[in-house]
Amino acid sequence: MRRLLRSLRSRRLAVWLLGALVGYAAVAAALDVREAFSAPPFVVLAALVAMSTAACAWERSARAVSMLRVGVVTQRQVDHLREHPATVIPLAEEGPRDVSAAAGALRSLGFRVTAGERMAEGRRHRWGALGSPLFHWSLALLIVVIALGQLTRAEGLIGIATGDTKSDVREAYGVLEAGPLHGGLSGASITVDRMEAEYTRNGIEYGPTPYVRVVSATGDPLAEGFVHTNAPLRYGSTVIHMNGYGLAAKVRLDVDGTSSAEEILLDYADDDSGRIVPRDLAVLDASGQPAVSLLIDADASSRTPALLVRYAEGAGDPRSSGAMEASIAEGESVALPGGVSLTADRLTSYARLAVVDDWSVPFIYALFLTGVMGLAAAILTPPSTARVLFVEGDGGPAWHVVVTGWRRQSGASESVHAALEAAAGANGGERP
Amino acid sequence: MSVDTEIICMWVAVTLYAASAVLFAVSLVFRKERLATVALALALAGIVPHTVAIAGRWVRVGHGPYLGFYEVISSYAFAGVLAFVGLVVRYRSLRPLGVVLMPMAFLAIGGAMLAPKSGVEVSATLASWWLAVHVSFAKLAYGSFITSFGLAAVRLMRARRPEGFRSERMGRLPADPVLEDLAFKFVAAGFIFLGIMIAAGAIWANEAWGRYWGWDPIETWSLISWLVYAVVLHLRLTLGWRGRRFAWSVIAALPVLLFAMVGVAIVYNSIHAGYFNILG
Ligand code: HEM
Repeated sequence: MRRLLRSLRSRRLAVWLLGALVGYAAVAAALDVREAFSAPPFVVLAALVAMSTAACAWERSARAVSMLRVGVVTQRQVDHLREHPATVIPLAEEGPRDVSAAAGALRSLGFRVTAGERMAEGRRHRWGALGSPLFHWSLALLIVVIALGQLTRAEGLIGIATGDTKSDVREAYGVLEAGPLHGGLSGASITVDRMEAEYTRNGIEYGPTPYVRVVSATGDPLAEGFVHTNAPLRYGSTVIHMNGYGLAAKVRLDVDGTSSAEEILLDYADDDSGRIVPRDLAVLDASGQPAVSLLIDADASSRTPALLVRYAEGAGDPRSSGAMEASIAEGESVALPGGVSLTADRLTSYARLAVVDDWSVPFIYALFLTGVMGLAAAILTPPSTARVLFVEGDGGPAWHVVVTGWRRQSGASESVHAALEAAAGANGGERP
Repeated sequence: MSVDTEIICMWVAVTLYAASAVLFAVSLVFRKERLATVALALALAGIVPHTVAIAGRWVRVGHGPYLGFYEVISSYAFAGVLAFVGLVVRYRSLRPLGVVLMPMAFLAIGGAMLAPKSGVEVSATLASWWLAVHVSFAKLAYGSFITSFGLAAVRLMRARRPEGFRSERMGRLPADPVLEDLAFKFVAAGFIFLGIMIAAGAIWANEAWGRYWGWDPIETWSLISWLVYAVVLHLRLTLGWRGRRFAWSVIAALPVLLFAMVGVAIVYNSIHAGYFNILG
């Protein structure tokens, strides 16, 4: 376990993992295969990055905590500095014989110093040390939360005719993608009270816009309002977006005396032409054989909507040139071959709403925010430490010095060394 | 302000930037210190009509310079020149950077002038505060990364020819550690800005479409460039790269970013393509 943790924490591994992620994403993006981002290799790679980031955050946290405890210098650190100094500053003959001058120099550079006789330690921006763990923890958690969110998310498209109500249940959706861990749907009722044909707010035209009302399964009102682009309706972890609109036709089919109601939702074409995409409908007779085949279209341009129905007998092709045609307005009927009659009970508009249930989104935003704050702290207030040990070695008295934090600020160690060198010769002594 | 006035202002700016770029090059090659001052003055003079053009257009079309290729590129060039002039005020010795940055600015707006200039309407999808956050941080991020690139390039040019004929001028630039520090800081700042830009884009997509991430090519490539810069930061912070190695890593990252910025809109037919649409 410990070995695993240690190898995950490897700094080289982190760079390789990030590189692998870049390579994988670049190939997948170049080929434009989006499925690649839910395929097992990607999931494994992301999981490894998350684990490695967490392992590193763990290590960084320990370091940040020790950084915050000013004045605790271990014997090991002292020994290490005696044996392996990063820099040795020789002291002048008449120069200092302890570290008080060094402590003064560090203070003047804004370090917070604790000094004994032989050892001085200064820390600058030590709170900045919390930035890196905060950032890496946020990132690791972000990956976990996104993954959990994807597993439990449900997203579907539901078409509701103006004036109608539909329940938030599986069967009501045209398209529904629910994550493998997603529970049942809420059963709340979603009503499209009315449809504003030309909705305008702040000078921006939003086109046909539904007024939507949501009531919970137990009858409590949850939310209501106009739903349009950039203005979804929210309640709990659910968000309802406007996705599209079209014509809804409530029709009644009478076949051999039995009547059945049918809701047909007709969409506008994607190309802004204002055309309607026609729908096919096969009507079966009592014995299950096709009685008539229909192609239902609508005249979208006229003020009073009407269904345009092309039809062919039996399993014939209603698109063929031999097919017959009829136009029926609301309340009208047309007699079709095979003893079938079609009545347009109601013609109105419908709103296609995207209903998304995802609890993870606010957490994702929050983690992102803490991540950015951590990152900014790590970079704007780069923490650094300087340790100075007085050593009377074979080469004469000297200060052994180590400065950390230069990676964020290369000038940092130079300025510390310059100040210490000045202090080393400060007491009037010649510098060797 | 009419379109015609705007176009005239833009051409004046293009001309001044071009002259500035040429003078920066000449001053470096022939070591004419005074010419660099003139070049800087020309760049400053170019900013004036450029500002007028952008502001006039803003008032006329009713939105900031972020819709369509022409507005986007022109505003990047504007931000770039402004940042350069600002940097030079602080670090006078960074003036030779103009040799790299001014031609980039000149070519960018020169290219933008060839794109259609009709205003793009703010459609329902675009009417969101997140768009403003998204594009401003994109500009900050790109500006920071391009600056880090310039700093790294200068650092490498000097290391390559310590004795070359430009050595005297190059020698006046700040010392290597200072250049390196600046390059690192711009990478770090750019990384934060790019992160915010991606997040704002995701929030906006969630508001507009109900999905915060769809692996759309431009989303994916922004994420890729973010990760590439994470690698650059790690190379320095965790593996301790410095000097020329670090500078090379900064250089190597920029093409990925540039591809995410302009390449994607050309190569892919993405939902963002209309936003940058070059063909009008
Ligand atoms: C894969 C596991 C990771 C490990 C082991 C790791 C390790 C580290 C370490 C040791 C540092 C230096 C901190 C210091 O000098 O005090 C660092 C810095 C940084 N890392 Fe990571 N990291 C990982 C993942 C990531 C990821 C995925 C990103 C972003 C996409 C990232 C972005 C950064 C940034 C921006 C910094 C600089 C700011 C700072 O010092 O915190 N890291 N990382």
